[in-house]
Amino acid sequence: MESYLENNLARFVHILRHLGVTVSTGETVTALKALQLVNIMDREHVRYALQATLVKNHEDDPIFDRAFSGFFTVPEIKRQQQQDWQEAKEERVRLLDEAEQDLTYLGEKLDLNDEEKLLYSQLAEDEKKRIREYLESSFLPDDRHHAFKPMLEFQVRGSLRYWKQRLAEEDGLPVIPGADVDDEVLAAIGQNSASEDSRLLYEDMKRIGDRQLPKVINILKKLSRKLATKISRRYRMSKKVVKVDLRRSIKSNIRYGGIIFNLKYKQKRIQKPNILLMCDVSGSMARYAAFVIQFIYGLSAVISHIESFIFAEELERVTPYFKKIRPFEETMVELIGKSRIWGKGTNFGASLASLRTNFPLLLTSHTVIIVVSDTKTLDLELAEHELATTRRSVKEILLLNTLPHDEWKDLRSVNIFQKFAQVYECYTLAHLERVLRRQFLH
Amino acid sequence: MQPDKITIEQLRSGFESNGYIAEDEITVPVYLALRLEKPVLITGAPGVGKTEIAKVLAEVFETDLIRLQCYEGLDENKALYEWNYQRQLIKIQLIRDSGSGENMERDLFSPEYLLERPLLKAIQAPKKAVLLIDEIDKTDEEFEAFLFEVLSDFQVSIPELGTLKSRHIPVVVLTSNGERELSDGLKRRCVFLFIDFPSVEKEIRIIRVKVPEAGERLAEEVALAMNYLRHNLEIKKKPSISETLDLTRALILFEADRLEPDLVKKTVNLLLKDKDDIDLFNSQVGPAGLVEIVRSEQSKRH
Repeated sequence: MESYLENNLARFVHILRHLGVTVSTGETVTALKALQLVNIMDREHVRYALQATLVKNHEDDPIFDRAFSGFFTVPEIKRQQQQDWQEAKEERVRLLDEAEQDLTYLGEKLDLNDEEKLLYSQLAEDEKKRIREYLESSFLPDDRHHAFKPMLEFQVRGSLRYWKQRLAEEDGLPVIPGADVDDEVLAAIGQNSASEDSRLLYEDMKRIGDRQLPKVINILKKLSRKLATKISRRYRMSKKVVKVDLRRSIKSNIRYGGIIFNLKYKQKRIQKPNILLMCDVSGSMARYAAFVIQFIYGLSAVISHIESFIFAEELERVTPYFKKIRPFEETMVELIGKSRIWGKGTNFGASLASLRTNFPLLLTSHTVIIVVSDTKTLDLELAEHELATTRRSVKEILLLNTLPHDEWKDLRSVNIFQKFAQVYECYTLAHLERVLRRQFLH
Repeated sequence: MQPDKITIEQLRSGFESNGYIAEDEITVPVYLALRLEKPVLITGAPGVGKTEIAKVLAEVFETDLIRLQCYEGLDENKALYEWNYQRQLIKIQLIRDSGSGENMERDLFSPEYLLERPLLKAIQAPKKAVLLIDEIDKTDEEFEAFLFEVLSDFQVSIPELGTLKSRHIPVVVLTSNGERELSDGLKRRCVFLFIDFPSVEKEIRIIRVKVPEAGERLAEEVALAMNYLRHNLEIKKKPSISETLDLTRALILFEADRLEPDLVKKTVNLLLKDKDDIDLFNSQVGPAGLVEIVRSEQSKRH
């Protein structure tokens, strides 16, 4: 019985970790002890015991609820989960086989990964046919087939990537059956729809509709308030880990006839970071930019020393827009109306060069630059050079990348950014929250 | 009653007899913290009853409540102990004047000259005490790191006196309003409890217990109004339980037995503490609108 409990708990913790909740071994041991103290037959008591010992962030509660409901369920539903998972696995194998048979060149299978094959299987029949016909009609009349095959594979991959992006823009990413989930409970949890609030947190920001804006604005306000409290926190003299300041002590105690009655202490000054935000407002980034600017707006209302810039083909300083006290909508209308670069192409290198040339005093060893961008830029060489130069004069550069992590490997620009900046995946509010929590809220 | 031997039922009835309405979602984590002798970290919006839990626990176990109110710049000297430097100096002067300086150093660093601050008091308490570390999110990370060292070992090393071990591990309650993210280290050592705003039913029970003069209907209407404001308006500072109780008491002063638009208008400042929130309420719902919504919700319930 004991080992049954331990095994189940370990598996449940594995699921929580897979869903992004950090659970330490110590906490798992505490959870086990807690289970021995509650009535194990009382589902609610077990839920509260596990929640109190394993989940230490309220933001993770919706994930815990989904994991708990999926894991501790009645045998009938468990059997159904197992069956669905099995079917999804079989379906996945069938689709992979089908794609392999379709995507061949002169009878040889193309070298594509599972994700690409499954993506092909999700395309409309017309598109599939077009790719098949292209493959059938492509051949070299001589014996250079082996040299030609990698080129074809490259083209098919490019086409599939295009469709992936297009499908994502139209109706969300295609559902890939039984994706690489190795557990039937995880598969079932993935299919369960979460509550609207938590869905909003995990939704790609560019797909959040206008109707949900008030809720998003509230989430962003909370976030910027939290961050503001941390940055604007004042530190005062304390006697902690300090040295006695003999000179000041003697001076202030002359009045007691030289007896050092009141000690004075030395303390290292705590330097607050100077934050400089650079937000990409090019065509592909416009929707994200609206959210990030909303966030800057909230932050600027409480902190005075934040410098904000927007960039596309060039750089524009927007700090003054946030200094005036007025509603966000008005700020946005004025900003977009006056901006010459909103919605244009991106030249990150030129923008960074302009920052270095026109605002050199902002780049100090206390400056943290936060860039929000999808890294897609013209003149990548210039961007690399400018990043390297700027990095030397500031404390840190953080890049909040609005591209999903699995697309990074295909882009040279991301690799270049990674050399000089800490790059974080940031296309949902949950990502934004997590990055800020890690970087600033400790 | 011993905290480390208590049962869930005993804790539940202890809460009830002290006027704290708690369901399993609160009782179970607190019970586990007591039985596992771990600190309980309580978070939630201001006014939902976090601090109250520590007070009630002190009542339940008939013991002292030792409170450490956190603030920016709080350090070990204010939290743990401090030598009474001024008193030591006076003693030196007296000894110098009388000319008897034997064992002076040992005398000066004796417990007599030690100023005990809340953490040391809790460790040294003759009986298991309840230690409330209130609003831990207001301190800085260094203090937090120091705190979780103390909370792990429940012993303190004072160079001049040696190591002082706790006689009884105190019941530790930490509260946080979530102004700042706490370190993972501290959170890992605690049992975690998030207190959300109460359901309508629970809030009615709270009103009836805390303001017994309020009738069933008034309690229900106030609870429904609060529930509506919290969940349907995008306000900055949502009214919490303490605001509910203030409103109910104010309505009793006006001798009201149910909510009326003019009463809502008179008391709106007790509910909403931010000008933008009041403006939002007036523009989107208004006193008459709120009363209408409450009546309609009430009719659905009966």
